[in-house]
Amino acid sequence: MFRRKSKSSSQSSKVHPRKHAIAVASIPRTSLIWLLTTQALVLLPHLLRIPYWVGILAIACGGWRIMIFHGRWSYPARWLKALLVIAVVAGTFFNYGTIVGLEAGVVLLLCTFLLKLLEMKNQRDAYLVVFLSYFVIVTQLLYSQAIPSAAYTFFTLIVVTSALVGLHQQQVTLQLKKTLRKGSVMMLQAVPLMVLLFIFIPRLGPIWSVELPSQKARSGVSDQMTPGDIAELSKSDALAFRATFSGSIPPQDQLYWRGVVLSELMGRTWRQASRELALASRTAQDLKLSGNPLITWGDQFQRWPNAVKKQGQALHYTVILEPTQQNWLYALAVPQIRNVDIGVTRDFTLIAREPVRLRQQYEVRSYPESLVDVELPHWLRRQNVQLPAFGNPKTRVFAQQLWDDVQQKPQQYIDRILQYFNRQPFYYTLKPPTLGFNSVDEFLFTSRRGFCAHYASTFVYLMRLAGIPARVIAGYQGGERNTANNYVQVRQFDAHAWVEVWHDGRGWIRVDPTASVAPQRIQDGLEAALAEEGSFLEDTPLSPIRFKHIGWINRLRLEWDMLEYRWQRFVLNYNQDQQMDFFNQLFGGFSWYKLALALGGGLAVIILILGLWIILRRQPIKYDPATRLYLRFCQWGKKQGCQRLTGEAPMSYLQRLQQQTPHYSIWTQRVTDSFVTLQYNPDYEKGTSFYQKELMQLKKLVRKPIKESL
Amino acid sequence: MQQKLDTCVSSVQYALAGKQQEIKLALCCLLSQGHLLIEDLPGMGKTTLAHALARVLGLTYNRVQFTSDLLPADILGVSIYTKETQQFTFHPGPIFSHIVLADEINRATPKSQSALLEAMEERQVSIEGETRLLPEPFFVIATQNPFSQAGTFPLPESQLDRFLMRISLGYPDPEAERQVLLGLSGRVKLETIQPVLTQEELKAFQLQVMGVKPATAVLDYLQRILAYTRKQEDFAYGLSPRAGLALLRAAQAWGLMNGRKHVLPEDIQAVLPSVTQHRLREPNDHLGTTGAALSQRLLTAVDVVV
Repeated sequence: MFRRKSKSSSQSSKVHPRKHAIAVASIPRTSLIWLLTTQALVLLPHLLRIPYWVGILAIACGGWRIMIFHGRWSYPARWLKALLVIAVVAGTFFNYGTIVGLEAGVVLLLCTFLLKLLEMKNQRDAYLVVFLSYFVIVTQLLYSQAIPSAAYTFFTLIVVTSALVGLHQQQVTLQLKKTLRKGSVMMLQAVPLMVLLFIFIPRLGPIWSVELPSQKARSGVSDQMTPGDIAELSKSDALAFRATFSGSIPPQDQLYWRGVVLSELMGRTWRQASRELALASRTAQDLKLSGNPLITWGDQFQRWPNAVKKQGQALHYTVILEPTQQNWLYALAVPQIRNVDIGVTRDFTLIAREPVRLRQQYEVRSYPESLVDVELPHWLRRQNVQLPAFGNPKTRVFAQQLWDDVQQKPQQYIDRILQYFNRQPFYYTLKPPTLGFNSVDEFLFTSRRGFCAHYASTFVYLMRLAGIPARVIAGYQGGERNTANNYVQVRQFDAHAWVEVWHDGRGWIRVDPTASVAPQRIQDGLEAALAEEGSFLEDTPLSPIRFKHIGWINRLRLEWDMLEYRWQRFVLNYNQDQQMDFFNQLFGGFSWYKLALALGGGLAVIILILGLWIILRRQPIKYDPATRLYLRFCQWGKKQGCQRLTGEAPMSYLQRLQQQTPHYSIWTQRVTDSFVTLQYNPDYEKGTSFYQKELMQLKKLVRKPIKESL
Repeated sequence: MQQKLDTCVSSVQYALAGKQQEIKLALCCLLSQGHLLIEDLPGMGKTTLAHALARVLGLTYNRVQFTSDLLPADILGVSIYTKETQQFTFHPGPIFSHIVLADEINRATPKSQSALLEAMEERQVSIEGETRLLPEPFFVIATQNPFSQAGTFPLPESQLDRFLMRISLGYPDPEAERQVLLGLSGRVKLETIQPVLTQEELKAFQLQVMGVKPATAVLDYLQRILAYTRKQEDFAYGLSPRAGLALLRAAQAWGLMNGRKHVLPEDIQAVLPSVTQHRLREPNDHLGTTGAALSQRLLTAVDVVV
């Protein structure tokens, strides 16, 4: 950036500072105001993410520039500029530990963009700054693509375009409104083209994928669970995913979005079974190996056809998952999928080949009534009855007693435990006390306060003590229903843990011990369950979900959600597949020829419409018939080398024309006389018979020039 | 009829050789009942033109030489005590005649100027509480030296606007100048000029001017001109409705002089510079010297046929 200017700056450092003031005049005041405004607007959305010293640099550069404009300071010397560049690079390195990578790259770009102010000497440099602004604007979208940032980007685009317009104005005054209007009109004219290109330009997959800072933090359910983990998650109102059903939404207590199956207990922590854990935590490369016996990829032949007995109606729905950085996806029980990049695990959860870094959309068919693992393989049974050899002595005694009480009948055993949860003073709370080594003992007999994870893990513990295969399922339960549009919005606070117990002859059956303690949690969601405690989203007092009970705020929130959902679904998720679908619908099949035709045709139509609009706006005048004829006559004159000048009256023109074309002097005389009569003689007002006659005469005359021999 | 007007022009031309266009403009101005301002250097024939016009039209003529000590009473007249009748009798000033030549009008003080200008507009004067009508027809032909001369009081815009036209005579071409050099003195020539029109005929002509009809297209053109001066940034201010009316009147008179019963755009163009140049100026022009250029611009910038 600095290379190009170094020559001229070395020259200018030799001349007297006064000279600088003269050079400055080449960027007028209005242009400078535009440029500074543009820079401020471009910088603004980054302000909270970037190191504070960039803000200081911005103010310093702007201030210096203004001083240069007033002729008080001169341009920085070459060594100072070099020093600034080094400082910026060093500062970036200090903050990020690197100067490559996305965040560091953005900061460097912003800094060079700011420093450019200090070496902007003529109009050409100003253009460079404006064009650079267009580029820098895009960096904002790397961080957020939600509607507000898109709208802000559009606004900034208008301002930058206006700045470009402003650079062309020589006026001393700013003419803010006029210039902005011009910029906006230009942008709006470009919008149809933008839409067309958006729809039809072929989508390529990302050529490289950068890990964005906003996505570094993993979110959602993790692959291991210590009682208390999910309570942490429940403090967030961030969106987890949206699911749109093609039919009606199943009842709330059927919405168990399975994420991970946790079947291994290590101390107090539940994990995925070690083989699966190994699979999930391995690199994406490993996962792609189709040899993994525990995953069936979407394009593969079902590996364990006897594990599932498909039954009942299918639920058909589409999920748009927010980035989680994890491999697993969420779905209702017994999903079926036809996506090459998504697999079904042996536990019948969904798994992606690569961690979900970008918002991902997938289509699922679930068969909730199917039976799973009616015949439990031995290895799976072993996995799901495994327990630590010791610990929780009280619980062991309690379980043994109960098991004997019910004469070792599993169903009754389950019911008795659920009854126990229900009848004893157990509490559902977001703030459970911390438990010691014998946590199950403490929970069951002393504290009796816990979140879903406590109940689920304790329940599975009790099951396994009796030798019944059981496992913890982590995922989400419920969600906010939008019945009008058939979609469910699931947020982080909907995270949940429940249990699946294996029954002989019926396979895995879902049991939710939390429902025995806090049935509202299942029916009405977390907020209702915590109504007494008041701990729902207490760390985020401004979350709009807290104001649900105020009617209009809730309506507004739902409308906004709807809008955002549409934006995501139709704009941000408009990928190659959707493009193809759209194309198939529109033209019945894709071919490059059709694509080219659609693009070209669309472009032509848009430009035609815009062109027509401009032409019709510019020329509202409709000539009256006599004038039209006369103008045709003038065209003839022009061809003869004698153009009628602006402001030249017919008679004066006639004189010139006759000199130029003496052979036609009688004809030209007659045409002019006729026109003058029609136009300027009040006796020949429009509508009179004179007028009609004379007009016919003129029409006849103009049609064919008459040449006479001299 | 047109012949008579032509004769008028040629008669005046006898006294003022080679200035046919200016004479026609002056006549046109009088036919449209407007006052005329002639701006030129001394000795260019301003007085001769005024005097000759008066004679041709058969009208009474008075001349007032404006100086810086001229008082309003010197123009309008004064009441003087008469011993015989023991009464004040009114002695009319030079303004009580058909044609008044106000020579070097910008030498007088604004007070005296306004006395004349008031009379021009009202066509009557009020002296000592009594309103006296001025003779009909009544024309003022004022002459002035260009503004840049020392010791003058330039006329303000409001008063310039009361003159229908401002013309300047300019140097004669060599042929005409030779005639001037060889011929009789202007004074003698003037006296040989015979009236061509009677007062009644003049009045009739003035009425006929009103009868020259402008077509819609002509009015459109005229209004486009007015709009142009009001819209463009180069004009300090646009033409007033009075200026528009003056332009139309003059164009009508010009059409009549050319023997037409309707107005052509050429008629407007012919009188446009004279009618508008003293009414226009650029924003930064404080001496009023840019009007001529601006009115020329109107001719080329506003199209006739649209």
